[in-house]
Amino acid sequence: MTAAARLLAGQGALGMTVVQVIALLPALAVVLAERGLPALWVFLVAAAVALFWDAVFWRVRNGAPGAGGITTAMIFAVLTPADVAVWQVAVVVSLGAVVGELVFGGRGFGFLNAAAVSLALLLFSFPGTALPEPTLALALATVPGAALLLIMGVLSWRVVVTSLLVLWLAVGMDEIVAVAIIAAFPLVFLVGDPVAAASTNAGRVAYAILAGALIWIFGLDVQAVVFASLLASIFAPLADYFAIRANALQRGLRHG
Amino acid sequence: MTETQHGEATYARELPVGILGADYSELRIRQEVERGDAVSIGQVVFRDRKRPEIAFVSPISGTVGDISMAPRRMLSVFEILPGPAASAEVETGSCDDSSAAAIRGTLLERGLWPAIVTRPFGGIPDPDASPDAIFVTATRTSTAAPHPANVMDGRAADLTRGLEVLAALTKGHVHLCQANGAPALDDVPSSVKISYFPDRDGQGLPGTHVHRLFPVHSERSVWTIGYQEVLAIGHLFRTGRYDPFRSVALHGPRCTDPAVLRIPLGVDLRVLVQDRSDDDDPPPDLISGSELRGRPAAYLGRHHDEITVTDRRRAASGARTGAPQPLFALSPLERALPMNILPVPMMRALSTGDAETARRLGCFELLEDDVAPLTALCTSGTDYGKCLRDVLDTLRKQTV
Repeated sequence: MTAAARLLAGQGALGMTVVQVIALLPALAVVLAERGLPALWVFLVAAAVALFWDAVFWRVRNGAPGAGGITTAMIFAVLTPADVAVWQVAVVVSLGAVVGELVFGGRGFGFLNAAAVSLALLLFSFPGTALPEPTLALALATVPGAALLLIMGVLSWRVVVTSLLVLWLAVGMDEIVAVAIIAAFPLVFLVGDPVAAASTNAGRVAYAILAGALIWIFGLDVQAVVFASLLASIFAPLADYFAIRANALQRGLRHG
Repeated sequence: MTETQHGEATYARELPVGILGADYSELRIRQEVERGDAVSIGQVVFRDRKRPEIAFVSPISGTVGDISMAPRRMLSVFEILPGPAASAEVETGSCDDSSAAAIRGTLLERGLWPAIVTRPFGGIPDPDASPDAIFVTATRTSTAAPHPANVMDGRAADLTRGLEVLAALTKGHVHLCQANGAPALDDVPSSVKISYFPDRDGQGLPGTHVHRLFPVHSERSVWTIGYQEVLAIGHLFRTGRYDPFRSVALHGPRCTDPAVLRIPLGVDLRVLVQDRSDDDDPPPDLISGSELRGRPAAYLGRHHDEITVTDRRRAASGARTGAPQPLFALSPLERALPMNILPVPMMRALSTGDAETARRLGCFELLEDDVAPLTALCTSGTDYGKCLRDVLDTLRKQTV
């Protein structure tokens, strides 16, 4: 696992984007096959808008060129209904990419997932919009991507396993499979995003418990996972803060 | 070249050597000899300018070559070319070990004091410092390094004498750290505590041993020293002779004939490798130390017992564009430090130069070698060794 992760060393945001794009391809392919041309439109508009803002911030801030917008667009396209108006896509993806990611300095410098912010804005701003329920095919297409992210060290098994355990405790044995099929894709790509998640092992577990509990409280559908991931990622730095305090306390006790 | 036991080959051919400033943090020197002067093995060639008790001696007989300086008048390389000796040999006969002060004086004057690394902060300890414990690293710092058991085989007398000398320098314990399953050593002084560690990467590092057995903090300092230096100390006190030879593993993807060699400290790596290859391939990259923790170098580092012959390293994209690259909290980072230190918060503190946070996260327990895996794994291409050095220097100025 360490050897695979070393491929990303020194590669910055671009290396991360390449891995995430590869991981997202099967899921996007399934969605395009299921929903056809309108879904492709959503993806193309989202990608054009997100990459446009990447380019604007690159020029204005003289930063490293980033193409993180492409993964934002892919995640957004997989989770968004195909009948959403083009201008709605352009507005929420613009706001999501800028407010969720680019104002912090780009991918990897913030603490939110831009696709989660975009989706939350879509649901808030245009009442009545409902995200399509993920199919079994989409859940299965998530698996190879998740495996790649795990091998590369991008996805932490602690986050995925802990969230699923919490959901299992909440809904019981009978329903967990149905819930897992719904939650698989957003759990891996929104909750499991290393930018949005906590960055210490103890923090990751706390973050995943919160995310799992919020998914349950919010109603166990896709919207619930989107909002849960957004809210949990806001609390992730707090989880890290307590993990750091606990670590410092341990050190203090050891040193006497 | 003569073969010895365990297939080690002692280098008969004389090779140029260089004493490197990079092995000791902040080394400014006062020369005792000039360029072109003849020197013999064990002769003092220069001293630490601020602490002139600390002497550095020549590992070979020959003439002084180029002496190059780094910025801020720091020593870069002090080169010595092989040749006839100035005199037969400096001082033979047994060394004065009548008192702790005499032992200290001998180590300082005979060039073995710079073998010691002090923690926290690193570097050569002050001549009058007294550590709370001394750690002898008799483990492999990487899986390609020579087996300590092979190197120590047949040198029990040197080891015993070396450990006795070290025990006189501290009121605390001398810890001898060995790999699990290492053969029992004869005649280890009873005051020495032996501990065993897994023979895995990261577990052989002095930083890991200190963390497990006797963690340092702002109020507690320890010294660490390699087992081969302890053998050299024992040899010096037993015979009065300075032993500049170390067993060093030559290996790596571009190495045509991996071997364990007995070569002098600071040997010129380009000449050594050229000497051993018979084709005209483009010269490979030479790393003093392991691929993970070593540094590209022309001379063997004082604390290194391996030479890695490799291909050109990939340039990091962050270095290419010059723009800051993000640090992603990849999960393999959690296993990169073999001690109870949170890696990602530590990396954030180090890369932003936040000394106070780094101190709270436990950076006193770290030296450059310990954080090398963070550099090797981080997406941002940040050199955490350099960041740690800056942070430790800041903290040292605050405590003094």
